[in-house]
Amino acid sequence: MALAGLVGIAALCFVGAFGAFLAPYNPDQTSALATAPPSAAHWMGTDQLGRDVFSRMLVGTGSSLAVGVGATALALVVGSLIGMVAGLDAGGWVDTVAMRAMDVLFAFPVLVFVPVLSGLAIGRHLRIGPVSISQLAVLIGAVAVVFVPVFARVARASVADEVGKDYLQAARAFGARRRDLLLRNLLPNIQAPLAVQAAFSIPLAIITEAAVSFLGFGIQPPQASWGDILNDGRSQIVLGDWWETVFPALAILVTVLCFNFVGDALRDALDPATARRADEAAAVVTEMTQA
Amino acid sequence: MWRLALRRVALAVPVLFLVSVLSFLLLRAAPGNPAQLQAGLDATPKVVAAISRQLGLDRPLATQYWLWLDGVLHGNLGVSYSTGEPVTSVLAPRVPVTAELGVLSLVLTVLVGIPLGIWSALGKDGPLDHSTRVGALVFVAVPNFVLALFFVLVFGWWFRNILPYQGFVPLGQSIASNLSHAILPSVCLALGPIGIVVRVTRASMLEQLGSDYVLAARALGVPWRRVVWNDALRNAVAPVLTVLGLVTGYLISGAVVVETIFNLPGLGALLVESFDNRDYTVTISVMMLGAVVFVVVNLLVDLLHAFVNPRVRARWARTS
Repeated sequence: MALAGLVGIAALCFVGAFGAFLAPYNPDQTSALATAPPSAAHWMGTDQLGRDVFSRMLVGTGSSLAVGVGATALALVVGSLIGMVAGLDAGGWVDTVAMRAMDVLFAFPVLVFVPVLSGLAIGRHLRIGPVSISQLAVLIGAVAVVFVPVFARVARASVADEVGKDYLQAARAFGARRRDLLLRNLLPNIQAPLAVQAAFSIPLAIITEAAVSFLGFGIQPPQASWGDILNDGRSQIVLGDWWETVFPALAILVTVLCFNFVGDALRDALDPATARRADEAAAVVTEMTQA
Repeated sequence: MWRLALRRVALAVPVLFLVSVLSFLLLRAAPGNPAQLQAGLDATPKVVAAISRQLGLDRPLATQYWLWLDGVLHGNLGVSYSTGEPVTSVLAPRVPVTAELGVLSLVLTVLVGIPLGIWSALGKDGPLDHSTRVGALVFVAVPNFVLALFFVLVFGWWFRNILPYQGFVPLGQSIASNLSHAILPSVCLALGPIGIVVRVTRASMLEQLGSDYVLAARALGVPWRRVVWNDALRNAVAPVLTVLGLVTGYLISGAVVVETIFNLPGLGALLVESFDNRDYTVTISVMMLGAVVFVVVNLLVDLLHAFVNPRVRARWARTS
């Protein structure tokens, strides 16, 4: 099953990277053939503006994956750093402040926070110094922000477990600076749970992006994303035009399942079963309740 | 024990405080000048300046925050930009809709999820276990808004006129009508949490059923039914409670899309509508309300946990 998952992910990455070249039609090309059901000419039918849905799906794969993977990567880096620093200082004020901050970020329900953050950037020109930030970047940032607490908690818990161990004391006795402790000693030992968490977070990030785009706060038209296609299809459903809804839905389902299979396999391979069994309930909770 | 509970509550206060700060900052970051919007497009600069002073917009940001917070704590969330009425009166009629949706979903989750989890644990690796596990996997993988769209497709086109897929009828008007409008969105919202609750309940029950006291009870001849539904269940419930607290966040998020798709006049739909109307005061207020509800619910779950389980109380006493 894990192999199937990996193959699926590889296929998705391929489509994501080369989607624009694989598309039979220009995804933005409108035509007179509006809301046509799937046919030999248009494998997934057309939308209200006559655009080929299959082409839009191909191009949208890239957008959805980019946001999903990008946001998770960003959250992984920032969250782990915060979590590791907090874990090293377990019980101290740095730990308390950091974890309270994470609690605050975690308190905002995802689909309430991300649309507001991302929507505020639509149509405005944001700059940090000389660098201008696109709305896509804000979207990735907003999705990353809601995933940072999860990675911070995983990192902190792992570091807190490692803190008592001898190799750290030895490193400290040799005069290691905190930066070295973090990066050279701790990080290699905690990367297993972090990798597993990342594997489970990517599909959740993709779902979040789809939901936000569906509501209109994410990737803006005419750019395509699975959420956008779902949104376009919404008004057509009651007329029986199912293709704009079913295909993105299937795409999302397949993507999520692939990443979940890989994540399960990663967890089986990397985390010792004994430590896992006692905490299965908690593990299920942490991995599933981010959406 | 009450002192411990108070300490727990006190821990939540900084979180709520920071939630309000973040909300305020986002409010100020929103495009549009509140004074200009209140004065109207053709107001003279003098009028705008006067309103600016009145709203306190010329004061430093920190002062503005305290003024705003003071207002919020007294029930004044500001004024809606589009209609001019106070935000609280915009929010108020929407609350019962979302509340009903949330309560129905939670009830469904508990009534369906927990028994399914228990039966899966009892019949481990049997047909029920496998099918519920696959089902749980699928329902967590399919986002609830996709499921909602699918429901609309099924009940709006393929099987028309069986169940309404749009709109809302208040409880006061007709209970039957109200329930028939609420059932599809509630089921939609509940399916994901049911998947989670089933898995957690199953894992927790398996852990309990494998423990010594269960073995002892069986050896002593306690009826199996009582062992499972009385003793093991009580001990297994703890992680499920924690999950229910987290599930609230999922439900609030889900409410936004589900209300939009099923056309329910609730707070979630308000979030999207108010943003489209550039009514940022309302949007941010809804956002803040969502966060506050989440924090409060989780706090209640924590307290309930300690209330029910003396070991948790002891742990609190040790770590405080």
